[in-house]
Amino acid sequence: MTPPAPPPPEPTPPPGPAGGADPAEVLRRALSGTARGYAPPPAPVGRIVAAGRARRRRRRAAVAAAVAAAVAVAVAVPLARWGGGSRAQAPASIPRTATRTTEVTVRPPYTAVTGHGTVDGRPWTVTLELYPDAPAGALGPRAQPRVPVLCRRMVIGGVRVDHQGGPWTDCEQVNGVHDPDATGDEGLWGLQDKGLTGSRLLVSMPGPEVSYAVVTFDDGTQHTARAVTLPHTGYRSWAVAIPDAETIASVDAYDARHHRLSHETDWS
Amino acid sequence: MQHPDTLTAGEGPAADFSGFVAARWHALARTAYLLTGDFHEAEDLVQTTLARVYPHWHRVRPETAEHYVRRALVNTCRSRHRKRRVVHLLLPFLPEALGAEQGGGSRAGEDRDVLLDALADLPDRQRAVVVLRYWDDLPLDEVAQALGCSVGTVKSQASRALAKLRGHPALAGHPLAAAHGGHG
Repeated sequence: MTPPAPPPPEPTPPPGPAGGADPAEVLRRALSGTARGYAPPPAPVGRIVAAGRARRRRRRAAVAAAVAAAVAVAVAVPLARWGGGSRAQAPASIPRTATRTTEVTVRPPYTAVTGHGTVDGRPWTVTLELYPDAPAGALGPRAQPRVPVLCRRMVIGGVRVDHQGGPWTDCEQVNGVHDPDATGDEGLWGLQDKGLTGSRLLVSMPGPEVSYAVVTFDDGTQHTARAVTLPHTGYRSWAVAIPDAETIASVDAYDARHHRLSHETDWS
Repeated sequence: MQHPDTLTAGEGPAADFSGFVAARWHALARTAYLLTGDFHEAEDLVQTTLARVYPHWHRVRPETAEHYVRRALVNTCRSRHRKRRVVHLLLPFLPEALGAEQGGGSRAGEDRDVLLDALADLPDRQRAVVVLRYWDDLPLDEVAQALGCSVGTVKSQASRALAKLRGHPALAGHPLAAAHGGHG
């Protein structure tokens, strides 16, 4: 479909009385003059798509959680009634499932450290890992078995971010080694308060056009992070550590020719 | 723009969506500018709207995509205005500095168009009618669809909005105040 073309340029309404003119027509011209006096910047397509994907993931996670809860209730209630309530047997199956998951042999992943350094006196690293065939159940009971899974392993001071969620948190199922849907993400992660306070890591999964990013803090200091590609794949990442109490003024992405591709100021 | 069902290998709804955004960004941003009166807010509004549309893009038919997004834009804008009204109601109880910041600090110092000032005094629905009808040139039935009201309501809202604008003090001396005749 070809989107309808925007209205053709119209001159700003001439000053002076407009007696006899159709008010609607005068209003059209006035609106046109005002709207065309504003020149929007280039479309931030990448940022919009990244935000859309994040929103879609949140929706899917919410739906999956709701379904899982509904299934759990649907299974547990009849079992409890059937067992008379005193010798509930259903919980016994939960440890068995978990054990089976961890016993499966997993082929070693492709890995690449995409960022490292020291923040607030503690070492940090960000590592991309692509498991060619993650075990069944790695991403939940409803996930497909033996599918590639991409993980961002973020470690601050020897503690992995989101480790409370198990070994497969901060991982997602991907479609092979070049999945465009797995790029475009950018976010802050930390060990506390959902990445809002303390030492944090700003991690981005840029597209192939991004060569490096410059993160400017509110105190004026700048940090440049090069995008690193996970070997044999199209997945890339750059990372910058944010010290405690520091805030981000801007994030600028550049291509290999040092042309700025994006300018974000909403991370503070 | 291709429909997801007709995409060839190597393309996808995401590419289709990106193409739509690239093609329609400027038009949507200008519509949002007239709806909000502030270009920072306009750009943020369009970004937010498009990000909300993205998860549903595979269900959007290509022939209705423009309409769908425009409707989402207007709804998101009106939703924001409703929230802002709550902030305005609370302003007298907020510390002075915070109140000043919430009161539209991004507009401070801008040489604002008198038309935007007049538009800002219209109720949300009337303002949306004016922008969709007289800037986007949408037919009455499409404006009605976008706003979830009847064609008759659009007509009456447009008429009232036009009358208010013509009598607005900010537009005294403006050609609109001097114009008379039928409404388009």
